[in-house]
Amino acid sequence: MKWERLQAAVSATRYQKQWFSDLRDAARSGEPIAILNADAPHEIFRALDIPYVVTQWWSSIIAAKGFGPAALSKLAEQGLPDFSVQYDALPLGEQLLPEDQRPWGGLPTPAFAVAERSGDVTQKIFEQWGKRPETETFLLSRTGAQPVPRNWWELVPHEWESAFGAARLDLLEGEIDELILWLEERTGRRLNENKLAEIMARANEQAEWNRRSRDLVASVRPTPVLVRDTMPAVMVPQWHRGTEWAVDAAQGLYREIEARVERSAAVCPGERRRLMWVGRGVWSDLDLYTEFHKEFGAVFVWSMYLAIAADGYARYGDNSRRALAARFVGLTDQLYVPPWSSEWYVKEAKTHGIDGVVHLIADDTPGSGFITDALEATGIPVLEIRANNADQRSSQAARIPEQVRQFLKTRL
Amino acid sequence: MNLSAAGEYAARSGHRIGIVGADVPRQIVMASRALPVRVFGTWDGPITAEATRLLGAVDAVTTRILDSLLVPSQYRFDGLVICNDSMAHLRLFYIARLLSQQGRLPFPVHLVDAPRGTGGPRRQFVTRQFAQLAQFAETITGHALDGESVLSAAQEEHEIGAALRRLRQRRLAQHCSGAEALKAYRAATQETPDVAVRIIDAAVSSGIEGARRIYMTGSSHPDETIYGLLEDAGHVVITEDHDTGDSSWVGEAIDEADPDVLFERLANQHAVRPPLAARALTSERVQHLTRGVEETRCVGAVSLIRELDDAPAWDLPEQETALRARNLPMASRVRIAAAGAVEAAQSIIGELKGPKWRESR
Repeated sequence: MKWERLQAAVSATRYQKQWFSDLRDAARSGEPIAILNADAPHEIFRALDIPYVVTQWWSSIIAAKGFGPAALSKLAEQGLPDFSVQYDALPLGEQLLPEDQRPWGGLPTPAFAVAERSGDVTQKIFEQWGKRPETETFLLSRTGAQPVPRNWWELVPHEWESAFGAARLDLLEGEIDELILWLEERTGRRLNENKLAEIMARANEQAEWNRRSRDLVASVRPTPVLVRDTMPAVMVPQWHRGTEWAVDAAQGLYREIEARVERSAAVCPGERRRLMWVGRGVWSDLDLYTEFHKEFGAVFVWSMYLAIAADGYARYGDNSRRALAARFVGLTDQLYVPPWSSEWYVKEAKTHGIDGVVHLIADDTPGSGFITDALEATGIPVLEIRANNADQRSSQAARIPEQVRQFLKTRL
Repeated sequence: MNLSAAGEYAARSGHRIGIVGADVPRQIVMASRALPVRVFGTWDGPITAEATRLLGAVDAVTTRILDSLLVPSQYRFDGLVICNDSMAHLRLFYIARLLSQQGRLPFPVHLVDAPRGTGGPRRQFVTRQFAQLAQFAETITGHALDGESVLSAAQEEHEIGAALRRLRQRRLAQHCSGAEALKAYRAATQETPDVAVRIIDAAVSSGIEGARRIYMTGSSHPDETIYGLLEDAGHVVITEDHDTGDSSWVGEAIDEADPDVLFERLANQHAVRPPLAARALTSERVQHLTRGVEETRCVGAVSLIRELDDAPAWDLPEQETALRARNLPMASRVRIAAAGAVEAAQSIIGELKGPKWRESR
C-alpha cells in the first residue's frame, strides 16, 4: 500500500543531505568539525560555530545505506571488536572504508571527538578517534541515575535540580566549563553566553512544538502519521537543535499533523491494532514499520524519537550552562533506567491507546525486563526481541518481521 | 596482632555491608563499625533465568552475583553497596535498588559513583560520594565517623596493606602462586582484619620456582579457577591488572582524623588508582601492562575476556602491539561464554606450549 509521506520528513531528509554536503565543503576549506555522541552537550559547539555530526545519526545513515557490515569488518581488520556497541563504533569503521564505499562521500576527518563515558566502551571508541591524525578527544563523566524521583517528565523542564540532584549537575556543569576552555584554546574563539542562552531558548521552543505533535498523535484515532516518517522528521531537527531551522521544522511537523487530523487522514485505513516500538529504530529496514498494515490492520503509532523529543529535552532556567548540564546528565536514564524508563513507557502507552508493544532490546540497555513487566502489568502484551539496531547482521538474524507477525497472531 | 577499635566494633556489632565492585574505600565502612564484605561472583556455575531476565545482557559474573544475592541464606548483609565501576555493576545497582524497594532483597542498597580522573569537578563529586557512603553506613550501624574510628580503621587497613605487600614479594619470588594470592585477596576483602592478615600471611606455595611467569590481563578473575588451571600446567601468575588481585583497592588508607578531609584525600587516592578496564582508557591500560610486565619479569601476558565484558576487548589490540614491540607474547581468548571458562583456559594452555612462549625471555 502506498501512503502519503510527511512533507516534514522529506524536507528534513533533503535538508540534512544538503547540510552534510555543506559540512564537507567547510571541512575541505579547513573549518574544524566535530563528531559528538548524542549525550554530549551539542549546544556548546553550536554557540562556538563548530559544525558537528552526531555519532548515532551518522551510524543510522551508515546502516540505512547498507554500509554497516563493511564498516564493522574494517574495525575487525584492525583487531578491534566488531561485536561491541556498534551504534557508537560504526563511524570509526566508516572512516576506514574506501572513498567510493562511504555514504554521502563519507564523514570528513573531525578535529574534535567528544563523548560522555557512557558504558564501558564509548570512551575507548572515542579514544580511538583521538589516535587518528588531526583529531583530538575530550571525554565527559557519566554518572549513575541517582536519585530517581517519580514522574521525571513532569520535573525535568523546570525542576531539574530535584530530578537529577545537585551533585550530578555540579559535576557535568564543571566539565562543560572545562570543555568550553578546551575548545576555546583550540579554536581561538570565545563562547558568547548570550548566544548560548538564545540557543537554549530555541531548543526549548523546539521541544514545545514536539510536545504538541506528540500529544496530537496520542489523541487521534486512526493515526495520521507513520513512525517511519516522524523518526526523521523529528531526529534531523534534533541534531540541529537550537537553530531557527530546527524550530521551524518542529513547528512545520506539528502543522502538517494538524492538517492531516483536520481532514481525518489515516496512514492505515481500517486500523485495528495500535503498536508501540520500544527501543532504537531499525534504520536499515524502515519498511518494517509498515509491514503489518494490510494483513493485520496493525500500525506502529509510537516510537521514542518523537516522544523523547517531547518530554526529554526542555530545560528552562537562567543559568544556561547548568540548564545544559541538566539536559544531558540523565537523558539516557530517562529512556533506559528503571523505574524511570518503565514509568514513562507505561504513561506513553496509555496516552497513545496502545494495544501491543514490540520491545527491541539491545545489549547496552539495562533493566529491559522491568519495562516489559510494567507494560504487561497494565494489560499490554509485549514482544521482546533481542537485536542490535545498527548491526544489520544482528537485526536480520533476529527475524524481526516473523516474530512480530507471530506476536500479532497469538497475543493481539 | 591486636584487633583495633573499628574492627573490633565491626566484629562485635555484627554489621556486614556487602560490596559489589572496586571503588569503595573500606576505611569508611570500617570506621562506621561495619565489616565490608566484597561479593565476587564466579567464573562458572549456573545462572537462573530470572537473573538473566532482570539484568539483560551483561557479563555472566555479574549475573551470578545477582543470583547469589537473591538467595536469602547466602549472605547476612545489613546493607549493600554497589559501585558504578562497570556497566554491569551499574545495571546491577538499578535492579537491586528496585528489588530492595520491593522487599526481594532484605537490605537497603546504595550506589558509590566514583568517576575516574583528576581535577576539581571529579574530585568534588567523588568526595561527596564518599561522604554519602559514610552516611549510608551510619544509617546501618548507628555510628557516625569520628576521629578515633577513622584512625583505627586506617591502622587496620595499613596492616592488611603490609600483609599484601609481603604477599606480592612472595609472588615475585615465586613462593606464592597466583591462585593462592587470589584467595588471599578475597580474604582481605571479606574477613575481619585479623583473620584477613592471618590468611594472607599463610598464602605460600612450594614447587613453583621454575614455573613460567605470566601477567594476567583481560576480564577480572572472581575466583581462582583459571589461575589454578594455568598453574597446574607449569605457569605462575605473578601479577594482574584486575580488581580482584593486585589492582584491588584494599590495604590503603589515610591517617586523617577529620572525616571531611578524609573523604577528599580518599578521592585523591581514588583518582590515581591502577586503571581498570571498564573505566580507563586503552592507553592507560597499555602503559600499566607494559610497566607491570617489565617490573615483574613476566615472559608474556594472558588475556581471557568474557562475553559481554567488552572493555578489555577494546584494549587487546594495543596491548598485543605493545608487548610484541618488546618481543613478548600474548595469548588471548575473547567472548568466552558463560560456561566456557575452563575450555578457554585449556585452549590457552595449549598455546602457551607453543614456540612463541617457549622462546620468550
